[in-house]
This record gives sequence, structure tokens and C-alpha cells, in this order.
Amino acid sequence: MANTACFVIVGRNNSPIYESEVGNAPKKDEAMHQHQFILHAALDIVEDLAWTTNTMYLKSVDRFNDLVVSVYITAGRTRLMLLHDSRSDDGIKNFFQDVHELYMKVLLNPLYVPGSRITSPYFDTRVRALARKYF
Amino acid sequence: MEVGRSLLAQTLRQSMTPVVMVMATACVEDSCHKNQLGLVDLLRPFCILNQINVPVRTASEQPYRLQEFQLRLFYSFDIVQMRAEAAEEHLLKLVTDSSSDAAMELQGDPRKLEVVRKMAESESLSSWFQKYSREFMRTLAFSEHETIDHPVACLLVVSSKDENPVNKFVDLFNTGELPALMNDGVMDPKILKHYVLLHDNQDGPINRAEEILLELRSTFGVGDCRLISINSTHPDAVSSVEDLWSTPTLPAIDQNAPKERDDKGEESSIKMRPGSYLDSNDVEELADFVLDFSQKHVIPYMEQKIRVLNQQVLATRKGLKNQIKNLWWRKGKDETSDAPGQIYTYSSMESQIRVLADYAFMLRDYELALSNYRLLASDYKTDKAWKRYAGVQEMIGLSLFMLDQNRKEAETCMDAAFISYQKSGPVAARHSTRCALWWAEIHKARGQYREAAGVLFRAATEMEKEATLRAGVLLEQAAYCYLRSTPPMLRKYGFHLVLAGNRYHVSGQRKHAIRTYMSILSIYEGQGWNYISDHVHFHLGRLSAFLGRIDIAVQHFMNLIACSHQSAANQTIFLKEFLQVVQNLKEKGEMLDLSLPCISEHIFVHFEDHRTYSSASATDFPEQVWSSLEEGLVPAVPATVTTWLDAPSKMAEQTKDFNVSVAGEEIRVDVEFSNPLQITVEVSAVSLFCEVEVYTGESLREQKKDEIDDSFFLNRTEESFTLKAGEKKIVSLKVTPIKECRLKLLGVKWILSGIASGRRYFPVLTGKKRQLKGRGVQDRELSPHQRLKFHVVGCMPRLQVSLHELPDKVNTGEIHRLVLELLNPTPATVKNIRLRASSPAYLLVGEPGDLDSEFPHCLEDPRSVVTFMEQQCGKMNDALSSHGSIFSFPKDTILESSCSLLWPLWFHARSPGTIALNMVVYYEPLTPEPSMKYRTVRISHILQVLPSLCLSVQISPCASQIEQCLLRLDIENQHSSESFWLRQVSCIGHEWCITPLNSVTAEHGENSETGDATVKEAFLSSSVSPPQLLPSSQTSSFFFQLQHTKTLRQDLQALTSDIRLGPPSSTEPLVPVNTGPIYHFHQLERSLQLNTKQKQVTLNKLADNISESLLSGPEFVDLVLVCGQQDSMIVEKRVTVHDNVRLATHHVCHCSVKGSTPVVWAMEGPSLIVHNFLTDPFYEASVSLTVRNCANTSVWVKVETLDLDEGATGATGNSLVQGKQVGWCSTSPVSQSGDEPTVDVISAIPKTSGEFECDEYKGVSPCGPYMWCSQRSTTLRELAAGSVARVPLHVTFFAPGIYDLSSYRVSWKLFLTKEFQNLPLESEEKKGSFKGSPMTRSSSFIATTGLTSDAFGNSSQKNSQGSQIASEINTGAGHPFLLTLLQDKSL
Repeated sequence: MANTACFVIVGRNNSPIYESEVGNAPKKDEAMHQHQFILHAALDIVEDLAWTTNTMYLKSVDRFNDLVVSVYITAGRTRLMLLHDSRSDDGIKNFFQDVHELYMKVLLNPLYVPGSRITSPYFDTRVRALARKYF
Repeated sequence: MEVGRSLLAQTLRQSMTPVVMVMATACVEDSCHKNQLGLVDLLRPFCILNQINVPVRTASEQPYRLQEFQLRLFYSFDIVQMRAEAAEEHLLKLVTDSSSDAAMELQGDPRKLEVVRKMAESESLSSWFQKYSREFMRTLAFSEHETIDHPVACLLVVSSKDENPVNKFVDLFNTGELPALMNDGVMDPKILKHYVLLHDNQDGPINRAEEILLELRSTFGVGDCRLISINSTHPDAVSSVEDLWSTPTLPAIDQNAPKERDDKGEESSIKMRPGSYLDSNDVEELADFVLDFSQKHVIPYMEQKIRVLNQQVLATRKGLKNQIKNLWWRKGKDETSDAPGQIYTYSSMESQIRVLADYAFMLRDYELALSNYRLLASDYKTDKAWKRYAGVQEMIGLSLFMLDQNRKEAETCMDAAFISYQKSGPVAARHSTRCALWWAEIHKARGQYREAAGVLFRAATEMEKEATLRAGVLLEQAAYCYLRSTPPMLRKYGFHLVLAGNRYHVSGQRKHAIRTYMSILSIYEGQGWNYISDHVHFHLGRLSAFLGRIDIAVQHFMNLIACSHQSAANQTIFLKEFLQVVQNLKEKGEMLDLSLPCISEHIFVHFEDHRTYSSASATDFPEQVWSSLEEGLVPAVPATVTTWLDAPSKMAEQTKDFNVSVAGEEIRVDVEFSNPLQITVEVSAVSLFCEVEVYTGESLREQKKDEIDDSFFLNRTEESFTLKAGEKKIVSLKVTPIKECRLKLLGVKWILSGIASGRRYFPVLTGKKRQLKGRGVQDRELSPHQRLKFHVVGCMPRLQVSLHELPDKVNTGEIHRLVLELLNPTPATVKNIRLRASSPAYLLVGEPGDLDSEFPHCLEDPRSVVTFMEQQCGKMNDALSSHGSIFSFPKDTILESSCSLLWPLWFHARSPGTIALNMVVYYEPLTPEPSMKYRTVRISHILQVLPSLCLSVQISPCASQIEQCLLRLDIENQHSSESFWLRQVSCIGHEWCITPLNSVTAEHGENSETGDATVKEAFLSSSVSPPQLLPSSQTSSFFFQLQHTKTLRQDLQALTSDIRLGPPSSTEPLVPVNTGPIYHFHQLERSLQLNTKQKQVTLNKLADNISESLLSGPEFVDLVLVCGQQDSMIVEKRVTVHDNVRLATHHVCHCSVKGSTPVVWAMEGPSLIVHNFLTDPFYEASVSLTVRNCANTSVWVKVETLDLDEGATGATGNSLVQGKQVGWCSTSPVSQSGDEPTVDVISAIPKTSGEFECDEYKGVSPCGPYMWCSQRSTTLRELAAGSVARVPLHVTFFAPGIYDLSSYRVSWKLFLTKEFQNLPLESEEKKGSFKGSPMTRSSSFIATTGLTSDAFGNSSQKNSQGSQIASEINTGAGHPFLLTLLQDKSL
């Protein structure tokens, strides 16, 4: 079980289109910007790594202290990023795949403009449910 | 990059140089201090030897040449390991001092990424970080585990003033002023000594010094002694020597002397140029001395030592034998020694090797150094002397770097060194940092910036917790490394800068912190990572506030305050900090572009140009409603058509986006404020700010952009409100221009929480450009309610219009008098007032006289009849018809300032539903204004009309009287609760008048004129007259008689005939319906109902030739029902002027009088005859049949009398279907009443009695009771339309009894006039067609007569089929005419 996990979907223009704290750690205000900093900085590494592999799941790409960043890149260069402090590779991989599927459904919505923030509460609850399931 | 030219190589060449220990007497120092310099400082500039060419031969036989060389001079008391605290303090000071240097290095705005990158790439030895790292390494100098900083030589300096200089030299070295390390045995005390005699020329001639020198030479040897003379310049003369000292290369490390600091303070206060007493000879001498010293003494000494030590090492350690021996020996040693911190003295083999390696490194024989370092490393490793091992590893790495060999190994060595330093405890932590710095520099020199950043980051995070400052410096450098890597890793750069900034902030280096944070802004701004940007802005804001840059702080906090994603606690903090900062702002009133509260882009401007509104509800109606009303009321605007050929007129350009407004009238803007936060926000003093341009001359105009000083031109209202979390509020902001000007609404301003004044510009909406196909761009007009620019016109009148006495709810048919009040509060005078209402059927404009009389009694007042009728009626009609319901107030009506005008209006609720009474009042100012010629007021009232009474009318011709009709009036009360008093039924029209039915019975008996009133009254009050009060949802029927007016009166004035309903005892006056508003409403109603009827007719497509004349002809009757309504209790509570009577009129128009046939006939004759049949067996009576042509065309009429026996056979048959028999028959009362339910009750009474008697006589005389004895058939060739013909008839009776003389038949044919012909006529005769009246009705009508005829049956059948081909001859049977013959009993 991960105590801290911050899940972010980063769109093609490098801005987050979905954010959620999925861990079971008590939410702290200071943690939020730290998580964002780490994830944002990890984008640089992701950019490098993305060209070196065929797989969508990049495993853990970056770490800061004891926090690890795992990344999954969709074909449309949308990045699913998870910041966590424990290693359960399989769970994370499955989580990413399921969220990817959910994200596809969001994209199929004709009212959703790709690259804009995902505000659907349905998506949010489903992502949280998946997070509970896998970590 | 070439290794040799890299920064690290340069640094190493500078710092890895031989140390020369300087020992001088106090006199020497005194002499030197004349120049504001110590001895070391005096000599230091000359220690850098750039242009030498010294051959060096170390271990190898091949000599090489040194092109440059450097010496490091230190006082002996400076050669001591620095305390960690002092070192930190020193570095702290350095960092604090260098904050401005760092800012200078940026050479631009730190917010621009390019500037930062340029700075990072142009890093040189003089950049502050390099200085920092050099100083940092200096604080680590003179450590026990490395010999690189150990003095190579000792310079003993004695002044010529000193007494007994030779002894002084000896004393200097022996008096225990030697460094502690040397005393501890870590340093080799046997070093090269050089003796210098310093002579101060100001003290006297040099002769004495030369004597001493000779003495010295004899004591210490010729080569080791030297004389230097300084201060040759005269004290007053200005030195021409170049200033070499004012850029001090090495600031003193004041580690233990506050005293020294005081001295420095004094020195700086003197502010004398250093070296001012030295002339060029002195400088030359000094330079010569240092060159000589290093070339002839230091380097040869080091060469010598290297060679010696190398021999030693070769002998003891090189070779297989030695290695094995060493290994074994070490193991043994390991077993014996317990203490881990064993001390390697200078004489130990390890120290010797280290000295050898270090000397080799200093003389740049890196190969030799490397091999020895490697040798040493294995030793230390086996000894587990980690610190020394790390030091050696470090040097291996550096040597490898300098040799540019085996990069991989260099890295592993540095890594090992780093780890080993960390392993060896907190003491060596700073060494590990030094190692990391070198390591990073190695990477940087090779262009491996990412790796360098990694190293720096690792060093920063893994160092001791207290050293936040050092961590900050390292992190900043790591960030720059990320920036310099290819491709630049900007996000990593940003992150590390944030970390660095954070560390700086923690350690109190606010200037550094703000610099780092500033650099990040460009990376995080506008990326959507809101928590990050909040963090950055928050810290920047705070730091700026600390540093007193309040304005910048405000700018940063402004980005924060509208953060909806943050928690409520954070939002509170942000807002609090922001308000604090704003309070500290110097310029208090400065407007900020605040983003809190949020302001919607959609604004709505309410203003009044020539269109003004009387109430808010009027503004809600769409413009089309009003523009259709204004059509014809306002002067038409000439539409100018422009093509692309026309030059765009200047005027049009100017006025395009402008609204027109009037000075003194407020402009209202609806703005939506919303609070995105989770905390409550107080907003006060919300108002508009505008730009005003005032016309001051012909074309010159003065611009007033200043928002504060425009109160001279504008009146503004200020609003204050509180927005709860997430609340939205629409606020109406008002501004009133006072003068004629050009006004531009720029935006909103407000004060947040009573402190921060903010503003927001309205979005500039231009007409949206629409792309036409290949035609360029066309402007689309902006809605006037979004335009923010105004032409303010000075001094226009503005009428206030109100409508009084208008109820909210009325019942259908009610009549009200409303009062229209026009008030002119403006100074200008108004003329030419006109009015138009949207629903003319509901509203009528009254006359001023109407106001004086009391409503509703004025309606009942008969006196008003005449005046109104004669004077106004026609005029009003004209006005209404000609101008399309535009009413112009009298020409001379002028409304002056603060005058009001009352005008009555009549309101009639003609149909149920919700109606909007829209009116437009047009007026012009007395003095014409070019830009606004007129104005209008729009008035709107919405009221509900409830359904009340529903009327339906049926008219059937009276069978007995040719000029009479029967009228049935059904009244249904559709109101849910109200009861109505039916007061009066009136008939309007020239042709017909309405009379109560009782008079019919009276006239029936030929003595109608003499019928006494008491009988009538009794009759009226009896059950025949329904009750006057009609309760809710009940129906009631009335029957009346319609009489042709020609028979009664001829005067025109009696257009109406009224019948008062209810008990005759009631004294309520009759309401004159042919006058006043009722009459006009009736006229309106008439025309409206006509329209609907015409529509129906045209829908039927029976004939499009029915004109209005047809419907308004004499065949039609208009009825008016007047009813009253006593206001219930609720109303009575109100104090009303009237006695609570509400009058209502209901109009039914165009009721057709015409029956089923175009020809009406009636028998006339005596009804009672007394005859003595005993004397005269038969009686001949003369009757006459009156035939009237009701059709529009002339008719051919034939009247036939029928023989009695013809009908006798059919007497029992009596059915229409079988009816082949023609003639008289007696009809049974049962069938009669069954066939004709609508037959009047009154007429039924005598009929039944007649039948009865008829039957009786039938039995008495079977041959027939009577016989026609006149001409059997009479033909009227052509009976003109509307004319009446009389056919005399004779009948003979044989017995007394009651006779029904109905055995006759009338046939007719219509002559069609030319207008009605579709085809040229073959004959004069054409089939007639019944129009308007239903055919089925005619058949039932025939049934009532009880007569059947062959021809009639045919015709009626054909007619009832509705075919257009009617029979040529229509036939109608005779009406019953009862004649009573009485036996004269007198005879």
C-alpha cells in the first residue's frame, strides 16, 4: 500500500489535464506543490526516455528522495504520471492501463476538447476506484 | 572542450601550487603597512609567473619546460586548519557579499531564460560561484591528510631597522611561531629557507642594509640571502606605479581576530591607494625577487626532493618483492594497531609518497603523481584510513582529468572519494563537498552537464542538514547544469532552482533566493501547474516584501489571490499577506488589476438615448416590439446606402461604436461579480471608471483620462457588498454624465476588504469580423447594450410617464378609466407630444374633460352624450383611422419644466388572457438638438384579464311580423368565483331596435300602444325575466324582440335602444352606449369582429365577393351587454373614490338578422271577427299578404293560395318525407313542439288552442271550413331589394271557429345583378343561393309550418344537400295566421 500517491495526466502541451491525490496519506497542503514540482521536473526525463523505448509503460523514470515517478505514455503523447513511494510494478502497470482505457472514453466524448481539463466527476471516481484497487 | 583550458584545469593550476611560508618581523610589517599592505599582500601580485621558461626534470630523464608557475604565500600563523564554524561564517559572508555580483553576472532580467543561459554558459573563474568554490577549498586547506598545502619553502624576512638582524632570522624560525601541524609532526619542518632583508628607503640610505646583507651572506650562504628595498617614493609624491594590489586576489580569512577586523575598519577609513609609496624600481625589484626565488630556489628544490623520494619509493615499494613485503607488513600492522586514527607522521613512508605525488602534481608531472597516488591508495585502503584514501582518490581523479585519460576511472575515483569522505564521518563532510565540486567540474569540463548536475544534486542532498547555504549554492549550480545540457532540461532546471531558492530562503539569503525564484517564473508561468506557480509567486511575493520591494511583492501576490484550487486555509493566508503588502504600499491609492473578485466578461449596458423607458418592465421587451410601435410615430431615418465606391465618411467612423446618451441621465451597467474562493470576500466602493473627453472648442477637445478627477464631469454611485464563498452577484453600477462630452466606460474599480483598490478593464468588444468569400472583412454591428462609448448630448428633456389607476387583474369586458401622467422634470420644454398604443382595441385616448367627471358614473351620465357625440366623436374617429392609432396631443400642448400633464385613457378588457399594454410617447424638445431630434418614452404594463361572461346570440325572423325578429341571448358566466349583475342590453344600429318580448304579446293584440304599464311590470318581475344576478359558472338565456327602427322613429340620434334588465323597480340609470368610450370600443370591436368574420367567410370560399357592406348592412345587429360587478369585501377595504362598481360591457357585433330565406312574408288581417252565420252562412274576409325582399337583388315572387281539399288527404300524413300532398292540414301539437324546440313559448299558447278548435270545426264541416276566393296565384314580377309588396287576398269562411290561414305558398326567384354573375346571362333568371344562413335551418323552419309541398320538398332537399345548383324556384309555405270567427250571438 502506498502512503502517498499523486496521479496526474499531462496533456500534449505539458499542462496537467487531470490531477488527483490517490494515496491514503492525510492530505497536506505543502505536499501538493512538492508533488507537482517533482512530476513536472520528471517530464524532462520522460521526454528523453520516450524515444528510447517502444513500450508505453516507462516504469519508474525519476526519483526524488524516496518518491518515485512512474510514467505511461499514450500514443497521443499524453502522459499518465504517478508519484508513489512504494514499488508494486504490476499494480502500477495495470492501473495505468485501466486509466488509459478510461481516458480513451473521455476522448470519445464529442464535447470534450482534447487537451482541456477533464472535469468529469465520473472519470474522477473511476480513477480513484482504480487506485484503491491496485495500491 | 580541451581539458587544459577548462575551468577546472585553470583552477587546479592556480590552487595546486607550492606554498611558501612567510615569517617576518614587526618592523617589516610596519614598513609594508605604509603601503596599506601586509608583506604577503605586497608580494602576492608577483607570485603569478606567466612568462617563464624553466626546464624541469623530475623522475624521468627527459626534462620538460614549465611555461607558467605560481607560488602561494602564507604567513606562518595562517598555515593552520580552519575551524568549521569560522569557515562557515566566512563563506556566509562571502555569499552574502556576492549577491550583487550574482545579480550583475546575469546582465539582464533574471526572468528571461536566455539571460540566465547566457550567464551560465559564460561562467569563468571570476564568476561568483567559482570564487565561492575557491574560497570553500581554501577553508579546507592545510589539512593533515594531504600535503599539497604543506609549505615547500620558508621565507624569513627581517627589516634593516631591526637590531641584530642575523639573530632575528634565527629567532624567527625557532621561537615557536611555526604552524601547529608542523609542530605535530604532520608537516616536514625541514624545508627550504630563504632569508630576505627588507629595507625601507624612508628610514635612511641603503648602505646599512647592504652591510647587514654581507653579514647575512656570510652566515646563511650567498644564495639564500637577499636584500629588498621598498618605499622609495617620497611621501608627498604621487606614485606612478600601476596599481596591482587594489584588486585583492585573496581576501583575508578573519577566523579568530575581531581585533583584526577593527584594524581593517581603520584602514578602509583612510582610503589610501595601496602601494602608493612604491616606485617602479621597488616593484621591479620585488618581481625580480619572486622570479628569482621560484626559479632558482623553489623549483630546483622540489625537483631535487622528487628525485630523492622517487629513488626511495622505487627502492622500497616498487617491484614484486617490495609489493609482497608491503602487503605482508601491512597485514601485520593491521593486526597490531588498534587505534583506527593512526597518525602518519611526515617521516612515514605513506606521507613521503604523498609528498612525492603532490610535488609531482605541482610541477605538473601528472604521470608520476598518478602512479604514486595509486600506490598510496592501495595502502590507505588496506589501512582503512578512509579520509586519506579519499584524499588520494580525489587526486587520482584530478590527475586522470589533467592527463585526459580514462574518463571512466576518473569518475569512479571521484565517486569512491566522495563515498569515502562520507564514510569517514562528519569531520570530512566538507571535504566530500569539495570532492563533489571537483567531480562536477570534471563533468562540466567534458560537457557532461547532466552528470555534473546529478553530482551536485547528490552532494547537496547528502550533505549535513545544517549546511543549507552550501546546499543552496550547489543546487543552483545543478540547475544551471541542467540548463546547459543539450537539450536543455528546463523543468529540471526550474525544480532545482526552486530547491536552491528554498535553501537560500532558509539560510536567510533573500537576495539569492529572489534571484533564483525570479529565474523560474518563465518556466512555470502559464503551464497549468497551478500549485507550482502559486508556490513561486507566494515566495517571490514574500521575499520581495522582506526586501522592501513592495510593488513587486504586490504584483506577485496579485497572481495568488484568485486561487480557487487551494484550500481555504491557504486562500486566507494568501489574501492576508496580500492585504498586508498592499497596506505597506507607498502609493496608497494605486489601482491594481486585481483578479478578485472575478468579473464576468458579459456586461449589459442600460442607457437611454432617444428611447427612454418608464419602467424596468418596459426594457424587457425586445426591440422589435417597440420599433413596430414606433413605426410612423417617429420620423423615418433616411437609409443611406453606401457601396465600396463611396469614401468612408468621417462622421460614420466616429459615431459607429458610440451610443447616444443625455447629460444628467444615468447610464447603468450590469456587471456580474463572482467569488472563486472558499472564503468570504468583502468588496466595497465598487464603481465605474471612465474616460471623459470634453468639447472645449470647435475641434479641440480636452481629454480627461484621469480617473480620480472626473467628478466634475460625472456622478457615480458606489456599491458595497459581501461575496460569500463561490457566490455570484449581478451589480448595477451607475454613472451620470453631467456635461456634454464623449464618455468611454473603461472598467470597474473597487476596494477589496477595505484595503486594496483594484480595477478591471472591460473587455474591448469590437464588432466581430466576418469573413466574406474572397471579399475581405465586414464589420458586424455590436449590440448597443455592449457598447461602452457614449456621445453625451447636453440638455435634452426627458418625460416621465406613468399610468395611474390601472388594476392588475380585470375581468373581461371591464371598462376602466386610466390616467396617463406626463411629467417633465428636466429644464427643457417639450412639444409635439404623440402617443401610440400597441393594442388599440384595449385602449382609447379620452378627452381632458373625462378627468373631471367621476368614474364610473360618467359613463351613466346621459348629459355627456350630446357633447361628446357631436364634438369629439368624429374627430376621434378620424384620428384613429387616419394615423393608425396614433394620437397627437393638441398642437399647443407644451410641457414646461417640472410641469405635468394628465390625460385620460379608457381601457376595455375585451378578451381574456394576459395582455401587455405597450405605449410609446413621442415628443420633441422645444429647442431642437441636432444630434437628437426627438425622444420617445416606452411604457409597458402587463395585466391579466380573467374570463367573465360569454355571450351568444341567435336571431330568427318572427313568423308573424315582417319587421320583427326574435333574439335569443345566452349568457354564460365563465368566471370561477365572481357573480355579475346584468344591467342592460343595448342594440346599436340604425336599422334595428331591441324591445323586451312582452311588448310583442302586447302588440299582438293590436293594442300595443294602450297596453298598461302595470301589466308589463308585473310581467317583467315575474319568472319570465331571469334574475339579474348571474352567479359564477351559470348560464342564463334572454329573449328579446328586434324591431325595425323605420317603423318606430326616424331621428338619427336614437341610434340605440336599451333594455334594462332586472327588476323594473331598480333605479339604476341606463348606460348610454352610443356615446363616449363605450361607443368607441364598440366601433373597435365591430371592426375587429368583422375582420374575423371576413376571414371565416373567405375560408369557406363560398364567395369572395362578400364585402363589408354586406355585413354592415341593415341585416346586421350589434348588441351590447352592460353588466356591473359589485366589488367584493376585499376591495371594500381599500378606500376607493368610486362606490366600488365596476362596469363591464360585452359586445356582440354583426349578428345577422337575415333568416333562411331572402323573402319574408306575413299575413295581415283582422284577428277577430264576429259574424252571424245564422243570418249569413258565409263570411268573406279580406286579408293581405305582405312580402318583403330581404335579399340584395330583386326577386320574382309568386303567391299561390291552395285549395282546402288538396290538403285534406294529406292531413293525417303530415310528414316531410312522405309529403306528396299539398294543402292545408291540421298539425298535431305533439309533432309541432317536437320539431321546433325554439318556438317561443308565448306564441305556443294561442296555437294549441287554435289547433284544438280547428279540430273541432273539422268535425263539424267536413267539406272544409274556409275557401280562398281571390285570385289563385299572384305574381310579383320584380320586387326590388328591400322593398315590400302587399298582395290582397280574400277568404270565405263557412263556420265560426279559429282558422289558420296558412294554406298558401310563396315562391320566388332571385335575379342576380351583374356583379354577381360569373357568366353572361342567358336568361334574366338565375338560381338563387342562400348565403350566410345555414340550409339545415331552413328545413327545420319549414317543418314548423307544418306544410308540405311537392316542389318545396324537392327544393329543400336539394338545398340541404348543400349543392350549388339550387332549384330555380324556391318555395315557401304560408305562415300560420290565426283568425277567430265568432258566432254573433247578439243576432
